[in-house]
Amino acid sequence: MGFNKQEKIICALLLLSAIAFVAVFSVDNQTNNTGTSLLGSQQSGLIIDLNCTLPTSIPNQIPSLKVSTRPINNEIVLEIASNKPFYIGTQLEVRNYTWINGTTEFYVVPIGTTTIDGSTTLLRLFPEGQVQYYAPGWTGYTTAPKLPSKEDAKIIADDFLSQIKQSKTFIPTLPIEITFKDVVSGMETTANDTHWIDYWCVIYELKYNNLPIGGNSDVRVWIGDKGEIVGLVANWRDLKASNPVTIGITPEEALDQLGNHLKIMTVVTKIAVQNVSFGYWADKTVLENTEYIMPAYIFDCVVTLLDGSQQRMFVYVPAYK
Amino acid sequence: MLLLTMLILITPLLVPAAFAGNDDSNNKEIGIEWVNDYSGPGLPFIPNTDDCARGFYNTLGNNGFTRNFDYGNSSAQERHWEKSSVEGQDTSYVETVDFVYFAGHGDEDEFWFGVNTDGGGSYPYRVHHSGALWGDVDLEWVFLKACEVLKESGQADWHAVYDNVGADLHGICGFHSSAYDTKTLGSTSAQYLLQSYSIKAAWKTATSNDQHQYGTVWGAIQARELINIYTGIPFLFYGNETMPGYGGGMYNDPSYYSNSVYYKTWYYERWLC
Repeated sequence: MGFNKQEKIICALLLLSAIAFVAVFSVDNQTNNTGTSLLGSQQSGLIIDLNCTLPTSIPNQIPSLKVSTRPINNEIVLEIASNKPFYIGTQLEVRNYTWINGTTEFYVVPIGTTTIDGSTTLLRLFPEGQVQYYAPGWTGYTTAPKLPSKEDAKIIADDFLSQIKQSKTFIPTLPIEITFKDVVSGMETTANDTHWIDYWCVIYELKYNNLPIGGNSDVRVWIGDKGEIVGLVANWRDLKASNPVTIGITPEEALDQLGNHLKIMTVVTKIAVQNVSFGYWADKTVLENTEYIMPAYIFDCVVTLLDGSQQRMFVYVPAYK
Repeated sequence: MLLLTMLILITPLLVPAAFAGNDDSNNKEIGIEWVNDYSGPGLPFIPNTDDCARGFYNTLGNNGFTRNFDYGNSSAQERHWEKSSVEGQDTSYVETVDFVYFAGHGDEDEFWFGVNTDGGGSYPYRVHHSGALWGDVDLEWVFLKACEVLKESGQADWHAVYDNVGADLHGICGFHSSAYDTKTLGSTSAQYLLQSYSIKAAWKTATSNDQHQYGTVWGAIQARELINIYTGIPFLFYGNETMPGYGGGMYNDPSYYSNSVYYKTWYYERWLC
């Protein structure tokens, strides 16, 4: 069933639960091939514009992705920290911290560190393979940095990832691909009536068999003054195909559910869906253990807030029942 | 003159971490307010704010911090945060603690409650920056798990909440953009604080973990910064404080430092989570 771009229909509204205040709707999308719906959502009156076509050729089944834990101990962590591209000196110590949700992180700081202010958290490694790196001594700039062009930032980030591949740091391999996505502002400061961008954030997407893995699953390299690398957040994991999952939710049904999955803490008046893709979504954070990554529809949206401002948001709807 | 210049330059190196606040017989007092039910002002129900705020409260409370209040839904009220000139009662509530955490709806310049206790008449159901004056008794840090309260275009509007006689609010942690309703930001940020992360680093790292998956959420911090008038060199940035007993600890309050030597300004930073 195809949806024509820019067409609009407003379908019927809401049943509000007196207690939960959550709207539940019934929209007959089987007979609706138009582009706007008023759907189940966090609030009444929420309009959803579909500005794209829904994905077609959805498979009946795809494998779930099982997350493997990596061998990790203090010696391995110290060796990674002491070599390129994370060479951060020799007077280092490895510490462990177990989070409430169960995962244990290993982090490296200069010996004797008491306060972790960003300048002293140098490298964090997690059992599922994720890496976070913060350049020694860097917490931000006190004056505007001279940033490279976005094109040059990408080149620098590409080279940094190539160096990681040459190191003993875990980095995923095929069928997982790391593909460039965008260069955006990553941090901005206002001090003494001056405003500046501290670093570019070069974002890479992860794909499994060419299907995007959204959510807590991407790579970000931070490029600062004169091209210096000031940080890395690599939310990659060691993934293996596992039990097949039946895709029990159609794209139309996922669109129906979209409003209920936008759990945003302000009033949204409209969601404009710019793109919908079928893939995977990692909903667990780096601080939680992840067993499986499951199939989902990924909605790339622009939401309009009550004050009229707009914000891009990614929302996922599970593709299985 | 040379001696004076040297003294000014080395002063930052000599500043000890110190107890902060005007009521510091206990500098580890915490309080939380949260709202799920917004049927009063007609805003959407938010299911996770209670877990989020209580994660902050209990994680710190189980590690030596003093739990002063936990007010939710109709017990959480805007007057607890507002100054007396708008008939607020902040001195009996948020000013009785050093660190206060709120989870609920927000937008630029304000954050919202489920019941109307407005005394000023201008901003029912919500704390607008014009009704707040923080840090004159005990309060040092405000954490706001709420959308857009620290939006860049309006963040300077919050400067006035520091403008009281004591002027001893150290800073506000919040969001520049919208934020997602999650259960874990309170406990996660508290756990970072207990690992001796600075307040800025804890909030930045926690919000980045908590909101990363949505792609475009921006966390933010606004904090006092002291700049040496003679050298122009930043002297203290309060975002670098750590929780009392963890790491370097808290700095003296801004009012401790002479206005004739230090220019007191604000530092604002936002980041892609």
